[in-house]
Amino acid sequence: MTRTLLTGNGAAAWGMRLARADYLPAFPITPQTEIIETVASWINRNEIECRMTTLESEHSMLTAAGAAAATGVRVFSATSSQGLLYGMEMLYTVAGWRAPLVLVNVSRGLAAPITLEPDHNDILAARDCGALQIHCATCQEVLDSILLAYRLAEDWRVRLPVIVNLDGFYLSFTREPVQIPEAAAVNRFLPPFDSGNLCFRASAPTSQAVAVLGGGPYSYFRYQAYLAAMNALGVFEEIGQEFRKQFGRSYDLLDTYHCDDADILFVMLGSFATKAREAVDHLRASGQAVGLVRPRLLRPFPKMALQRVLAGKQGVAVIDQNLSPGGGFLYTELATALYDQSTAKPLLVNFIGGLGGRDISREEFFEIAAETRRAVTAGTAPLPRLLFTAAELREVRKLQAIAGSRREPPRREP
Amino acid sequence: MAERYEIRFSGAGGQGLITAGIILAEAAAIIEGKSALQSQSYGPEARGGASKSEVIISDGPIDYPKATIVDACLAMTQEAADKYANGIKKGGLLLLDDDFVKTEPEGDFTIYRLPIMRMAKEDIGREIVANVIALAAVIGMTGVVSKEAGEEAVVRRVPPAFKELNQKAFALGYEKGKALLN
Repeated sequence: MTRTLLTGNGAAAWGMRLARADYLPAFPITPQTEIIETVASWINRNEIECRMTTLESEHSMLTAAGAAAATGVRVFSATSSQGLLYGMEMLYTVAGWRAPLVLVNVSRGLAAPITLEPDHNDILAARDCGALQIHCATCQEVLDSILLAYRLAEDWRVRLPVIVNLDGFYLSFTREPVQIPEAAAVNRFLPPFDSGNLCFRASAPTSQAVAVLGGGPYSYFRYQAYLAAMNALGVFEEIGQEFRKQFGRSYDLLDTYHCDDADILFVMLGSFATKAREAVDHLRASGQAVGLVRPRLLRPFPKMALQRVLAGKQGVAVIDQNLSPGGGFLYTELATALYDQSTAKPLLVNFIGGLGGRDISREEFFEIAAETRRAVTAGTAPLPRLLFTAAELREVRKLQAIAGSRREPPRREP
Repeated sequence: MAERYEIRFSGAGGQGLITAGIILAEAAAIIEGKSALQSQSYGPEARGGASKSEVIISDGPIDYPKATIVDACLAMTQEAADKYANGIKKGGLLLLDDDFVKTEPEGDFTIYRLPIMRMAKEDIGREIVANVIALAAVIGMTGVVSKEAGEEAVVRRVPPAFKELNQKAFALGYEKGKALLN
């Protein structure tokens, strides 16, 4: 095992390398491009055996990826933000094909305005496509999650594409010490892809599926894909334990921190949760029983695991790094997950933070905890609240003044 | 909680300040075995434009990977000084390129100046080593990693043909950086 400094993008490339992916269809986009560049340089130096094809769009890239995976090839690809959205049509299609490829998405906020920095509206747009989602908080987790993702995708009980998500800049361009596992150990954990009878032979062409189906068979196949996704919860726990035995690092459905004795919990996705983790230490030092829950698997949603960890808590602050009508995505999803229990539920309070990579300060986590306590006392949650400071508003006003924007509504002639 | 030391290198894109950050993080994390990480940020430009690289070094685990309030900051250009020489800890230090930063940022920290680009050009003969001089000066001023670990990390990063050139640049930067504090 080698300990080295890797960016999140470098860790993703190493995950692909150790997984021995055979095929890489590619299209560039910031902040993901470094992944493809790294793999391309290895191919160029004959360090790995992999066929790389540059396509003219993410739509074609995902089509190529799905077609290859459906014929028994281990496929890897990566995209980000607008690119993921451009390929969205094919995400639904390859999930319907049950093509077990692994796609990395480096989260970046969606236009407009254009930003290069991260939030989760891109990856969450893919929440209903049928592909599974693993969300990472560290560079080590990126590498390890890609190995887990192949096991999950290729498991015969699942057979679905898996998207591994990491935050742009915060992980993509941050170097952390990463343990690169030995190839032999990875080969034991992740043997070659056994696609069963699915393969491509030019001499014996076969058809895998009928292109157009009516309501009954259509419902059947979409529902099968749904059931397969639900199987992934159990399979993930199983392979997580195997991973721990092989490599000594554990990956459960949820990453929990000081939850047992907490009365208030933070719930967050991705690398910004490391900021919450640090804030929990400081809140605890000031005598507040606060904990943190970070779902690793977002699709399928680990509902039962969340119900268990949230049981008996007074308040839960859901900090969404995305924006959607009705509140953040995680907030509405969590509310749904708790609603089918007749027992007392914690009060959910929604905060929107980290849009376009906007930092969340320690003071804001203290304020979030305080506001959640106030809501618990009042017995009612306020509307979702955007984390935003007066200083930030002044900056925006300056920009507006430079742009000569008019903020008043147009005057009507009498 | 663990001792945490944060350093920011800033300048123009292409000056090698991201590389300087990587080398410092490698000196701390790989050679000295401490906890360290490095992050970077830049605008949409491929060259030019302000760029920054941040390194966090700690004797314990680091939960959050972004620098929050830095102990030491380097600014190689006026644009970088205007944009990135903020969020410096009270009593921290700011190192400026003497020729390229005319307007000094204001704050509760000590400002030091070195003609880094000029030293690279005139004393070493190659502008390309300005980042190594700057890195060595910061190491000399802060002692955040040892001189030996810093030099070793530089040597590991550069092609063998440029080993001596970079060692010379490192020695010069370290000596001038240390002398600033006397």
